[in-house]
Amino acid sequence: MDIEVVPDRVRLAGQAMGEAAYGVGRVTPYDDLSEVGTALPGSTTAAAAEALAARWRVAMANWARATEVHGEALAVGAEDYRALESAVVGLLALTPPNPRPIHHRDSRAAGGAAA
Amino acid sequence: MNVAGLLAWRAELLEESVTGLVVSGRRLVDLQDEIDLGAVPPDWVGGDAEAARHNHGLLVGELVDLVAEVSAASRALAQAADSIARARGVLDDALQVAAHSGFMVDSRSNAVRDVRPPSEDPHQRADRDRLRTEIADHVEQSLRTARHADLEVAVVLDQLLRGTFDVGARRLQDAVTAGADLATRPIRLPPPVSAGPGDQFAWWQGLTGEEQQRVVDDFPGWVGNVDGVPAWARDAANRNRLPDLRAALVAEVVRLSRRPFGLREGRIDGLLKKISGLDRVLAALRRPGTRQLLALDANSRELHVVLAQGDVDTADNVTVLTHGFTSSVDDTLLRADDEMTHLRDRADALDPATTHATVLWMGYDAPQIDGLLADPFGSESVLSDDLARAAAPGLAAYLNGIDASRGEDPHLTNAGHSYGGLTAGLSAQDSTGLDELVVLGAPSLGVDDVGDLDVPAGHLYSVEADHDLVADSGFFGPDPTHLEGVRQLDTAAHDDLGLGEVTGHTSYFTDASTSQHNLAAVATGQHDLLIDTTREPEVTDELRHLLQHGQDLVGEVDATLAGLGDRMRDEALDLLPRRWR
Repeated sequence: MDIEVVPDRVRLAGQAMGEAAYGVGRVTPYDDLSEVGTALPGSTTAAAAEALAARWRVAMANWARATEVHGEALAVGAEDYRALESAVVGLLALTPPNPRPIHHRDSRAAGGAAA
Repeated sequence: MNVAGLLAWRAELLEESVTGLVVSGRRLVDLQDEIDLGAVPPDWVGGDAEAARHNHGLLVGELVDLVAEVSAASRALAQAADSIARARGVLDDALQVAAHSGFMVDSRSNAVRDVRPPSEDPHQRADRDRLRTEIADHVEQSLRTARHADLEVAVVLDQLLRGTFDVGARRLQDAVTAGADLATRPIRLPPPVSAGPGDQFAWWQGLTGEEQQRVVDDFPGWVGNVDGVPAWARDAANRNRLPDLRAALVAEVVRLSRRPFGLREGRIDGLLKKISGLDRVLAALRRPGTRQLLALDANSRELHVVLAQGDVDTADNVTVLTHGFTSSVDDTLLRADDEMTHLRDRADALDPATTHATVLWMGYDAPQIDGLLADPFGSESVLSDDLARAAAPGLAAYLNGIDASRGEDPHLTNAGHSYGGLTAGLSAQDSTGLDELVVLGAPSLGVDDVGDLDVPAGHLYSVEADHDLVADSGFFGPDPTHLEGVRQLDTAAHDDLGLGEVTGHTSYFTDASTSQHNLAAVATGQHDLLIDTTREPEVTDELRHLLQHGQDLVGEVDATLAGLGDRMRDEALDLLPRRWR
């Protein structure tokens, strides 16, 4: 696994979801639906369309907000992932090499040279 | 729902809403790339990755539902816009006809009133009544269609509001298709029951083009025999019905043949005759030229069929032929189809500038020899007018339906031969929109006075050949030869015109005959080409005339005696002292 690739892809996913949230925020089908009342005054359809338009307005706003939060969460996750990876790499760098690797133990016991 | 309400509706604004919704739907679908890119990388593992993946799935599901809802709403509204535009079209046409013809339509109560003073002429009064009914039918059906469209789309929107749709899609584009499918309305508005041709036509006009095709394909029984539905649709529907109808009749024969002889006697013969009749219909439809199968009904004693040549929806001249004694689909359809071909060719030759359609109306149980033999004076006998009287309303409805199903009325002729002439005459007592009525070798028109027929004055004709005893029989009423107001047309040879003579009772449609020429001249409205009768009255004519004259004399004597009686009584009263009166 390439440890640099995953956080980048998570970050990009978060960014894409942010764009999706923005895109949905710019689409307003509920406005078109509200116009039905003007086209068919006094109709049963007009009342039903108005109610559905109101639901769509709320639902789309909620979706955009939730998706935006989701995108931000992914971005944070990516940063955390990167930070964690960096920390791990740093820690590994500070750790001294094992002076006696386990796989050498048998050869030393067999009379090999010691450091 | 009233006229004012429908006039306030604007289908074009509804279409704008639909366009807006479609654009919105596309813009949402365009977000599919972002949604895909937003998926959590599969190699990101752990609790937070799982949570992110779950969250992403929920968000995608919600967006898919939303796209499906937008698609469903736009589809439902588009259908409604189409239906309402059609309803408005029917209403606008009806209002225009009303305005031009002196009728007023109350936009609140939907009532149609004739604002012109009543005519003295009964034909004109009948025509006005017919027109008023037609306008009222169209108004009513336009409102019915609009109301139905309104309720139907409201149901879809309400279901969307309550979230009762299950889309079952994962991709946004699939959601568009799924939503549209969910909102595609089933045809829940069958034709009105027991309604006239005007109602039926308005119902038909209220369906979208797609719905009309679905009715023809999936519910052909709804429209195949319905007067007021355009000929193209009836034809297509009946062609669809024909194989199933034949199979059903064959199955019935098989079923009956398993029963003991006494229980199936006669019935199998009748069914086999109908099956044979259907085969004749198929053979006729395979002949070259345009044919329309405008009715198909096996529920009566005889197979009922209406078969046209030409296009009844568009022809300038439509001629309906009604035959009589012994006519049946099995025995006479193909010969009558030949006669129609020749008649139509003759009409084309007389008037090549206009288009012609001929219709063979076999929509009734014509009397057969069996009926005569079984009971000469029974209702199934040719000696009774019961069958003609039973058939007349159906023929009148068919004639009415031709006018009702077209934007522009054709020049409409009904030609009845023999007993079919009686049927034609009886049907013309109703208001049918008929322009011409011709009877050929007919024993009677079924009326004593041509004023009882709703045919324009001067457009009623009788064609009687020499030695046609049926035409002279005077059964069922006065011989048309002696009825005032009936123009007598010739059957003698006219060598200078290349026209031959016909004699007897069964040759009136002979090709290149004077009789056929006269019928074609009437059918094309070429009245200046008509050849009036030149034949001398025969003995049978004279006898019939004398009998009729004798009846008239008896009537006159009766009236004179009655008048005399009244005068004597008055004089006697005058002699009495005033206080005794």
